[in-house]
Amino acid sequence: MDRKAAQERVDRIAAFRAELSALEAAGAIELPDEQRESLRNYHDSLMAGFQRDFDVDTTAGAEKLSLAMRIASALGGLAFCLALDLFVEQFWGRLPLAAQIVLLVAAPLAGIALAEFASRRERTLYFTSLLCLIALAAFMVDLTKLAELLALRPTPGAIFAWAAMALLFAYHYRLRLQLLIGLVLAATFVPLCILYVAGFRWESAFVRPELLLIPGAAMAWLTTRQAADFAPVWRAVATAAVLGSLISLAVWGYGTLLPIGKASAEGIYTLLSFASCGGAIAAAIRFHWTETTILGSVFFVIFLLSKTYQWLWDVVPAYFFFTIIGLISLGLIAAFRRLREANRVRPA
Amino acid sequence: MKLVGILIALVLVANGAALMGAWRNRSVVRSEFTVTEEQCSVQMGERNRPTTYLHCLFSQRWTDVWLNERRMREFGFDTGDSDRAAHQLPRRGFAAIRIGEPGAPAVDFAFDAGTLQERFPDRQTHTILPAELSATYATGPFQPRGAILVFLPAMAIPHGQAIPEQQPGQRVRFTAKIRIGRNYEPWLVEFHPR
Repeated sequence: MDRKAAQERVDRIAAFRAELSALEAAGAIELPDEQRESLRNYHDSLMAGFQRDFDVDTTAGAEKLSLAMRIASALGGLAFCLALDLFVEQFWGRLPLAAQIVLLVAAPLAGIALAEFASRRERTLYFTSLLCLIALAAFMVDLTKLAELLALRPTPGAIFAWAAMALLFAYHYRLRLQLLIGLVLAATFVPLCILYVAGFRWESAFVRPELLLIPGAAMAWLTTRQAADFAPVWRAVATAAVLGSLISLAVWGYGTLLPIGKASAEGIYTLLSFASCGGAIAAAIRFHWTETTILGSVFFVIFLLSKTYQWLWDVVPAYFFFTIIGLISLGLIAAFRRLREANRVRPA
Repeated sequence: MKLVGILIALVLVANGAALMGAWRNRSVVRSEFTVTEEQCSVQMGERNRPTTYLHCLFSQRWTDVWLNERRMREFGFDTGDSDRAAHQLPRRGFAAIRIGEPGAPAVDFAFDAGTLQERFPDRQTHTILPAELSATYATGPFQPRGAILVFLPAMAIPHGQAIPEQQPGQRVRFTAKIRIGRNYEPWLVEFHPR
C-alpha cells in the first residue's frame, strides 16, 4: 500500500463514520454498543497505523494544512529557483572562469544530494520535493549559464537533459509536480528535436503544431502503463498536447505540414478538434478521469470561442458577437448539465 | 542509490559535453575579425543582472540580388504564389560574411560550411558563420526572395571592463576582436570601449 491508497482508506472511514452517525440520528439503523465500540476501535487502530506508516491526514483540518504545505512547497521551490538565478547573475562576473564552472556544476549535484538526504528523513516528501525543484532549477541555470559563458549556440539537447532529470526525480521519489514538469519538457523537446535534425530553425517548432501530436499520442498510449497516482498527470499532458495541437491548426491553418491549403487545413482540423474534444470529455466521464474532464471542457470552450471569433468578428456587429458568445455559454451549460444528469446515480 | 548515481552522471555528462564542445571549438581558429558598434551592440547590465553582453546580428534583407527566386528554389524553398510558400520555416546553414565592411554583408549561403570555405578561402576578407535562410516576399508585385540572418550567441564582456557611462539612447562605442572556432562558434578575445 502507498500513501495515496492509505489516504483514500482514511477518507472512506471518515465518510463512513459521518454517514453512520446520520443514519443513527435518523433512526434508519441502530448498532449494538458492543459492535459500535468494536468498529470504532478497529478503525482507530487502522488510522493510527496509516498515520505512523504514511503520515496521512486523519482530519479535515489536517488535510487542509497538507494542501497548504504542498502549495508552500511549490511556491518555495519557485522562489528558490528565482533567487538562485538572480544570485548567480549578481556575483557571477567577479569570479574566475574555472570557479564559475565549478559552482555551476556543483549546484545541481548539491541539490541531488540534499534531496536524497531529505527523502531518508521524511515520509511526506515536502522538503524532498522542494529540494528536487531546486536541483532542477540549478541544472537549468547551470546549462544556460554555461552556454552564455562559453558563447555556445543553443540546441534542444539541454531541454532533453532537464526533462530526464525531472522524470528521474519523479519516478525515484514518486513526485507528481516533477512528473508534470518532466512530461511538459519532454513534449516540448520532441518537436524542437525533429526540426533541429531536419535542418530548420528549431525555435519555430510551435508554428508547426502537428509535431506536438507525436509526443501527445505517445503519452496517451503510455498512460495505460502508469500507476494510479501518475496516470492522471500523463493523461493531462497528453490531452493538452493533442487538443492544443488540433485547436491551433483549426484556428491557424498555415501551420499544417499536410500538402493542403490554409482553408482546407482549418476545415479538417475544425472537425478533428470538435470530435477530439467531445471524445475526450466522453471518455473522461465514462472512466472517471477528473483531469481530462476539466481539460477537455476548457479546450472545448477555447475552441468554440476561437472559431466563433474567426467566423463572426468581422461579419457581425460587436454586440451581436457577444450575444452569440453568451448563447454559446448557455448552450454549454445545458450540455454539461445533461452530461451530469446522465452520470447521476439513480435510486434502485 | 543507483538512481542518484544516474542523476549525478546526467549532470556530469551534460556539463562535460558542453565543456568538450567549447574546448574543441577553441582548439582551432577559423577566423578572427574586429567589430565595432556598426555591426554589434552592447547590452548593458542592470541592478539585478549586472553582466554586460555583446550582441552581434548581421542580417540581410532585400539588399543583394543574388538571393533570387532561382537560388531560393535551389535551397529547397517553394517560390510559388501560395499561402504555404509564404509560411515556410527558415532553414539552418552557413553564410559567408564579408568582414571589414559596414554591416558585414552576407555574400553567399550553403547548407554545409565546407562549400563556402572552398568558395571563400581568404580568412582576411571573409568569415563563415552559422546562419538562417528564410523566404520573404516583396510587397506589391509577387517577388520571392531570400533573407539571411546571421547572429552570434551573446558574448559576456569581462566584468572588470570599464564601460563609460552613456547618455540615454546613446550607443556604446567600442572595438572588439572576435574569433570563430572549429564549430563556427565565437568567443570574445578583446573588448575596448572608445
